[in-house]
Amino acid sequence: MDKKIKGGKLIKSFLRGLCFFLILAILFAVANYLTLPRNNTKKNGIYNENAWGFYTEADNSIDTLIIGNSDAYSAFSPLEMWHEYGITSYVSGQGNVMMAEAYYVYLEALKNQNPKVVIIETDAIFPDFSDDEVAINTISDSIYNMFPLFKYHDRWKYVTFDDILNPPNYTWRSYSKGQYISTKIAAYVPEKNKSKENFDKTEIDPFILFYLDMLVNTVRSNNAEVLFVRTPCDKYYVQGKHDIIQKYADAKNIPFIDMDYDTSLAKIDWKKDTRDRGTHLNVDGAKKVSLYIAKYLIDNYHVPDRSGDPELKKAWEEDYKSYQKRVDYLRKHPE
Amino acid sequence: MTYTSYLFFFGFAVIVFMVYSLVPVKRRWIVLLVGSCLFYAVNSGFSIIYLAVTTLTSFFCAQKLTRIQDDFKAAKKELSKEEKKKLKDKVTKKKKLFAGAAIVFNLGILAFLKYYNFFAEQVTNVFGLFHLDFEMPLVRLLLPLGISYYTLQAIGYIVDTYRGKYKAEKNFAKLALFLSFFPQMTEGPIGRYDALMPQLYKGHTYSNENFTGGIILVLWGFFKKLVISDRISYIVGVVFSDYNDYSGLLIAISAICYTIQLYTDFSGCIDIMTGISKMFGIELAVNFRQPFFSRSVAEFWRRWHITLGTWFKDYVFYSVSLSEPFMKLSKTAAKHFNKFFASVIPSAVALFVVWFCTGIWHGASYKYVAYGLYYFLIILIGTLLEPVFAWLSEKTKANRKGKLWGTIAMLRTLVLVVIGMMMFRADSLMDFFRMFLRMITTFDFNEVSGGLVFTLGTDKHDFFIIAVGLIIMFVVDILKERGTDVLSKVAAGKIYIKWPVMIGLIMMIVVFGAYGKNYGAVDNIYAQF
Repeated sequence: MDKKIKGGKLIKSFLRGLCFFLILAILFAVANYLTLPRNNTKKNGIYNENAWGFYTEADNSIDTLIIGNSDAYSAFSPLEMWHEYGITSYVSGQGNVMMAEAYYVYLEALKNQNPKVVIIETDAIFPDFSDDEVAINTISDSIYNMFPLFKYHDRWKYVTFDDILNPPNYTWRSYSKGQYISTKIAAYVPEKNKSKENFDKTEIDPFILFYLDMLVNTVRSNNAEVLFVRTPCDKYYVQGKHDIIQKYADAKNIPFIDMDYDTSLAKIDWKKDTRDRGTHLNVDGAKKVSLYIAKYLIDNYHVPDRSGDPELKKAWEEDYKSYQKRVDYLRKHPE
Repeated sequence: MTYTSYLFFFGFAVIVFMVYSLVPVKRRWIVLLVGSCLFYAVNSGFSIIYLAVTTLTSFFCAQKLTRIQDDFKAAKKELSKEEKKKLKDKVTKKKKLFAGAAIVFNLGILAFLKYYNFFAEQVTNVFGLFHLDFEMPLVRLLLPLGISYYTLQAIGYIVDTYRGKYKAEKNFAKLALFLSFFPQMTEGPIGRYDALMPQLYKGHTYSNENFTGGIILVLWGFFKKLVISDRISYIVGVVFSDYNDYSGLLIAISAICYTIQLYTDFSGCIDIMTGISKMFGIELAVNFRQPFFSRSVAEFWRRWHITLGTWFKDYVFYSVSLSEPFMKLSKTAAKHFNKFFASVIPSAVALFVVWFCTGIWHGASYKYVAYGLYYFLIILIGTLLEPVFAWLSEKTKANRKGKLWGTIAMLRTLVLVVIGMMMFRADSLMDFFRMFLRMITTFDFNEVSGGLVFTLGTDKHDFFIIAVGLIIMFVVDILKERGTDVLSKVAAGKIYIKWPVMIGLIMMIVVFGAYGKNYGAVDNIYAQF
């Protein structure tokens, strides 16, 4: 009898708890809907709008998606790749990005794109954070992306009555396709001794590795291929990092192009091609990297030349003109 | 892993609670000990050695003190009155020696780690004044987590054992738990052995009331910290760092904002920790009692950071007051002054020591010393002028216990406290003086009417949410002041009362909390001390 009463109490408590969380979940869902960005702009809550501009590209028009941190958005120029080879690409680069965030960016891109190649800029494998920070940031990014309310909750400030009635409508386009355009020149003199950082790691951080594996596996499960690229950054080149990534790439059978390991690939002129004394490339450096990678993609991945598609060509050529105009303007009016 | 991080609550506290609930009742205190050690090791690494040293010295010293006391009790039975007195003197001296050594040793660690570099800089500066080329070397020191709190707890424990208030703990692990209990490690409250230890040791069975009450307190703390404190912190940071760019009105607003920030940050964190402890069935000491309803600065300090105030009262004020030189001073004052001054002068000296210690406890800086002495002066002036106030109220027939007088006294206290908080937050004592001067000499109403106030990191939407939060907090506080503890009533109430409150708090924290990519995490202010 006692056991029956106890069991009954337990079921009652369980159902009560379930009800509580159900009510909470409904309220979360409502708040989530209300606070979702209504457009893909910073003003609307998209933290890094340039990286999330693929929403407004024509459906399935991006064949190569480039994922990484600030090195990625500085060193890749999708429009130069287009202009020279007819390759369509987009750079989803975010400063100090965690691999978790990079993974969710890829999932978001899949909503309207189906890239055939995903380039991972490998500097994101060793973010500039302590081990604790990596763990905390990875968990935070995972929560933010799984439950967008936590990411966009602050949008309560801008919610209007229209938002309740109308679903999100993304309209903002990045004419540079995610690239950060800078013509600034701040020369860097490469040092002879390349191992400048105190680097004592022998493997990839487990939190990074978890999401890197997920990213690689998801890309492959979507019948796409992965390419690792370390864009030139002689200033922070560390042999140890190269070795760890190479080991991972070999194990996963992923080609790895390290433009610091083999400086003859991009032929960067550190007197002219960097905007901030060797930390990031400017548009001239980006052009060199992009053209090398574009050729590599054509030769090894058979990425198609999409310049034969008239609609696509019209849109991309217009963007290329805007890009050129901006570059010319910046050269005439230095930052 | 700060107290207000989700990692602490969900990744640590909840797991410890679950393990605690699964382990046999008798062994539950061990879960708390292991959890506390883990928390400390994760947050402070090798600094756990300092905590271990303090625990060891406190343990052995208290053991020795109890043994001496027990031996004395056994021996005195067979002694004459004269012999008893002699032996008592001898025993007291011996006890003083042991207790003193342990206290000096532990205070020495705290003083060295916290104040050495400050002291070295001052020595170098003094030599510099005389154009002497001497530089006292600075040392890279890492302040162990919670050292300012657990050292005071340890000293309290030693002094209480010395005074014979209770016998020393025989189990080292239990004392270690008392000194390291994770909810009170980084911001207090400063616990007392006799109040806390029995609760820690007693395995508590799960209680729905404790669990719900604890959760509500945790939510209330998060609400204060994330919705009010962290949101208001932006304008405070901007104005205090560039006060020369703003007029008196904005400086005054930011000083008020800082007072709100500090209160909601500190009391919010204490609520979270009290709530977590309550989930385990452990009641922590009360650290705040609606301080802004105080009618005097002295009362404010009896309601603000209560455990620090009572610690200084019990272990510094009384120790000074009952010391031999002080007794002599009291006698001398009684001989040379009238009754009023004969009582004021000795207590002023003891108060000076207490407030000096209170100030310097907060950190190695002149501004903290000045902060302590500021309150000392206000309390002293208040005491000295008391006869004048009494005379005035008698002459004007003003009712000092009436509502009007009370409101004026509350506002006066608030103004004095805000000035104190300004000193506390300013980068240095000089900055405080400059800010204060600017506050009373420049005035530009346009900064508010023109909207500048809303462009300093805390916009009008933020101010609206802060205002709503403050109104809710004010209502809860005023009801508590009148004897109704709303949070406890809600916890004990029916589902239709409990759930809306809990869900409402959760939704307010999630939607209106200042967290995420647009906000930098704001460290708990009192964790830095």
